[in-house]
Amino acid sequence: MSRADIGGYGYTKEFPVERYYRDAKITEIYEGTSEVQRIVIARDLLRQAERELAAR
Amino acid sequence: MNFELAEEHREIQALAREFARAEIEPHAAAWDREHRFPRELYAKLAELGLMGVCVPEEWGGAGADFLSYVLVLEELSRADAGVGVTVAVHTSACTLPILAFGTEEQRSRFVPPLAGGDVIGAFALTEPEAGSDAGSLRTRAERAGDEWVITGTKQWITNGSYAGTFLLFARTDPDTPGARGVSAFVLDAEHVRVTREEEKLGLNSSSTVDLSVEGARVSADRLLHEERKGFHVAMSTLDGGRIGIAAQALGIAQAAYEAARAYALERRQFGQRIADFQAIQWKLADMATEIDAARLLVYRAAWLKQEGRPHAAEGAKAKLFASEMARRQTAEAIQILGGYGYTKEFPVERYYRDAKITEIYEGTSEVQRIVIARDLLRQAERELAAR
Repeated sequence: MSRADIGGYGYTKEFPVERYYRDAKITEIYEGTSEVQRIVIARDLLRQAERELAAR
Repeated sequence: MNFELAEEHREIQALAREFARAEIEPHAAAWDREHRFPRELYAKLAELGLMGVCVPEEWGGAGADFLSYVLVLEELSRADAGVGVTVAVHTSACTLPILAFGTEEQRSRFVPPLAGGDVIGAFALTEPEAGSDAGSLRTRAERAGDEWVITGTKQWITNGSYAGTFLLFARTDPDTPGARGVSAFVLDAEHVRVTREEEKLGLNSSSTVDLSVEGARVSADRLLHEERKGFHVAMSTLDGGRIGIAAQALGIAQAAYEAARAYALERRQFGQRIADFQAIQWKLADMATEIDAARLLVYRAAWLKQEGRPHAAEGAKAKLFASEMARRQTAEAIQILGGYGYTKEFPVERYYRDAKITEIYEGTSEVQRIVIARDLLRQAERELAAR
């Protein structure tokens, strides 16, 4: 269940979902930001595409 | 068509901006951390006329228009969204409906103290079992001679601990379930009891409480508008109130954008400013574009309202887009600041927590979509029938 599903209750400390909202954000940042992950993915896919095109 | 703000709009915008920069912004982080409602601030806002911006001067307000009020909310929220919601609820959810639906006697008794900021206003509709389905509320008002006896509980009442005037909704007709049995009342602080202060994800400088009304006896002149017309008062209040919340979301997003932009120009990695990376430029471009789009929707809705034109769907569109935009873009601002954005050293994590509520109160995003869809289907039916 997400924050939006439980409405105003979700914004309060009565339920744990507001904590999940605070906790989740950092996972897009540490051990390489999402932007760094995209660089890793793009480098890999471009390298693979070059290999495949060269093998034709 | 003219997209320029008028001279008077620019003046009040500058007034609010300068005040917010000097008196709010430097304290916002501490108020958030300490969960402190800055009571003294509202006296200062009152001195500038900002507790009754769009209330006519004859009723103790500043006599400006609704767009001026929206500009003020945007500027206050840019510094501290908790201050923004306090002023928004005080003005558009309490003062304006009393002005719109009150008798001459009710207006002259309740409006000047509110508009002049001597008294803070609150709006008490929501109950534990009645959120989006507000028409199912259970608080009861029973007639006893010349008086009403009111009993019930209210939840998430903004300004609850500090308000002197409460616009409270109760069922006056127990035999009519749903919205048609509801009436509106104007109560004083002595009629209600604060039973709990809510702990929230954000907006920590604002007060959100549970209320208990325990057989409060009020005279008949406390009924606002006609009996059983309370839901109409509530819905028309929310139609305008949504534009204020949209302005609040806009102010939060603007603050996040400014923080992200400044950081991107400062921070260097891999031998250049991160603003020189296209990945960051795209984020900033998306932020700027979405903020512009939201601003146009918000100002249009405010203009329609002050022109006396229908604005329910346009206000809902403004709130839907501005609030979802603010949630998205405050997250992106944290992303640009990276690890710093997740810490209390910078204000963006506060903007991120504060933005989320704008998708929920004064009607969730899901409710806004219902309002918009009903309007567009009604219009389509009319157009098709006219062919």
